[in-house]
Amino acid sequence: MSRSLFQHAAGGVLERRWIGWVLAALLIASSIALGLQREHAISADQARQADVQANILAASVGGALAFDDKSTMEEYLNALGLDQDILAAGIYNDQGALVAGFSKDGGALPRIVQVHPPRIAGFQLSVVRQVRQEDLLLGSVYLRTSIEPLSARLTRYGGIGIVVIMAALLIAILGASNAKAKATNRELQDQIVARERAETALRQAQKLEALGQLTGGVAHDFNNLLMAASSGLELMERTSDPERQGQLKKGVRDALDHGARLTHHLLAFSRQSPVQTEVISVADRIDQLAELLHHSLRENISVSFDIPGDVWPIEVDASQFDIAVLNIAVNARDAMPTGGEIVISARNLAAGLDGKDAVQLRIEDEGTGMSAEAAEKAFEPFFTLKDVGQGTGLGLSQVYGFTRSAGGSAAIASELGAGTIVTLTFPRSAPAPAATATEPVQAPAVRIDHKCVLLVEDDASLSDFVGQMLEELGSTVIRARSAQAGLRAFAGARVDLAISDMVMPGSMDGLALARRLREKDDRLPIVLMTGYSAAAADAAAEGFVVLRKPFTFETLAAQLSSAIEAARVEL
Amino acid sequence: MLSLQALLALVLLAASPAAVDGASLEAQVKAAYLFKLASFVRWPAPLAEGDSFKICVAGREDIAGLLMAFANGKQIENRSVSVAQVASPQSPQLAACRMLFLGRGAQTAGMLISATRGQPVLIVTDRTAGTRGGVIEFMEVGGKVRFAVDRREATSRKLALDSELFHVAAEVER
Repeated sequence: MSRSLFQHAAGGVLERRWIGWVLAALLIASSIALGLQREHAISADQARQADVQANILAASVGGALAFDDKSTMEEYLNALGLDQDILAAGIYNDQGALVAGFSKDGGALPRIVQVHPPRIAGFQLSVVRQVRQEDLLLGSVYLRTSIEPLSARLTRYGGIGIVVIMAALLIAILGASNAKAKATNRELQDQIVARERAETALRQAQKLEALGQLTGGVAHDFNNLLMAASSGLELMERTSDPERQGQLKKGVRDALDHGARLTHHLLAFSRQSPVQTEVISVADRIDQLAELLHHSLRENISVSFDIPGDVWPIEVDASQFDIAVLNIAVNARDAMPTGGEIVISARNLAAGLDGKDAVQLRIEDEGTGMSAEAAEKAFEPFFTLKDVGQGTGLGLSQVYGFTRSAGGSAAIASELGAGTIVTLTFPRSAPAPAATATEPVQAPAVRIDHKCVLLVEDDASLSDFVGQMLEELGSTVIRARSAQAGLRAFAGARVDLAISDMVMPGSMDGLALARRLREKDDRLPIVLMTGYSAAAADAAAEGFVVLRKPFTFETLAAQLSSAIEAARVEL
Repeated sequence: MLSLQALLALVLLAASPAAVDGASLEAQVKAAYLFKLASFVRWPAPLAEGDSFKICVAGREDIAGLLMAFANGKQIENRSVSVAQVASPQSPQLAACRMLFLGRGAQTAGMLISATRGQPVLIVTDRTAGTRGGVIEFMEVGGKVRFAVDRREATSRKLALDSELFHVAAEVER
């Protein structure tokens, strides 16, 4: 919705309701000005004509006036009288007394005249010219002509006037209606923006709703993981058998890895993001979701998958897809209070959606099911079969909205006591899915012997832990608890590498610190640590190497080496 | 309405009470016409340096007097106007005449015309008084003073007449 500057300016002007009226008034004013100018020109022209005629008469009657030839004078006057614009004419002797003349309009001729140029009085124009022969003044002539009366002129201008007024009205009305349309349009756009904001909020609410549904299971799972880790450590303390210690260590490591992956999923899941469609492989996506599903459902519920590898790709908003699957799974879980199996399957449907290829995702449970009436209403917002406080009724409506916006359809089949089958149908996407992001390849551990590493981390235990890891790698570590302290430490020592947390208290965060360090030394390898996906994306966008929390020793080593590598490449 | 002649009489009376005293209307009109005629005629050569525009009159002392009063302070051809009376072809005044009015005496008139033949002198004769053969010749039409124009005589004297004279002339001789 980027408008050019001109459009913006023009739109801005046209939005003003009064501009139409101003334009109309300008049009009328300029028309009147033109009319007046034309009137003036016509008057000047008439004056010139009268002057010329008086001059001709004056030049003609010299002899007649000199030798008292009245008949010749009258001849000239009669000829002049044929011009209907000439109302009166007179010939006067050198004493200014009338010798001959006529008056058509009943107005008397002046007895004695004074010479004067054409002058207008009312609708008449009069002029007096001298009659001369060589140097001899013989007398003068007087001429009175008519000017077109106002009514005749108004009639003449009337037609044009009506056209001008119509045009002006048209402009004014168009201007007003345009302004109104613009205002309405702006209102509409405001509403659209407000609606988009509301929809975003709704999506987030739906996500949190699904997350809320999961929390119990996840907490339970975490509890188990923590239990496994703590009991593993306890057992390690009690045994001195190296083999046994190795086994226990592996058990603890596995439990912690599990927890890390689960956290990753939850963080990715809860991230607020605009609708962003991408081409995904259903098999890959469900595979990634499987772990979250396994851990969020109860132990007495098993999930089995039947998704062939050749299922076509689909184009959807991936996070909405995850939420939809989770919503259905959570409903299935709640429908099976005594346990059971959820089967998630997918298959290709050739010409299955309005005659086009489609992919059908099917989620089946062995739960209590629901009546036909309930099934009919299941996709409606705020419809819920759960007890008050257990669900908002937004879950399945999200599923419905999501599939519709992806160009697909959702259906529910259920029978009381015989379980429920939810089928989602998506149109097949032409392009292949983009390669799914993978965890950084485990690079061989680099040695950073005798290097000086600046570690900025506000969390004391984490600082200890990472510091020890770095020392393990052979480096000297300078610790700082804030970005400002980090900057001071950097100024006071020769630092070969910087590693900083991103979210820290104080006026400067890790990203700002990294920018400042890069300003001071653009060859300094910098690694930023964060658990937040959004922050990680920001840092990556600026070209910093990002270490996602929680991380292992290997990951730390790998990211350090890639940061050193990147800094070397920039040389 | 007052006639032009009556008006002219008044004008002349006002201009020169002494000269006009007792002068006939006819004389006044003719004197005025004579004076005005000069403006409608172009002579072949301009007047010599220092010369005045001389109007000569033969046979009409009254008109000569009127002209004298009338010419006072006036100019023709940018010169002051002088009036002289001539009685015979031998008159020393004759050579300098720009205009010559032959008011009475057909014989003298004939001699004066002959004496100035071919010369650029505007000869004005008066048919009512029996003098004939001038470039301009006063006559009477309907009780009013009018004039005839003789183009041939004008041409022979190299005088150019304004076309308006032909318009107002009672007669035009080719």
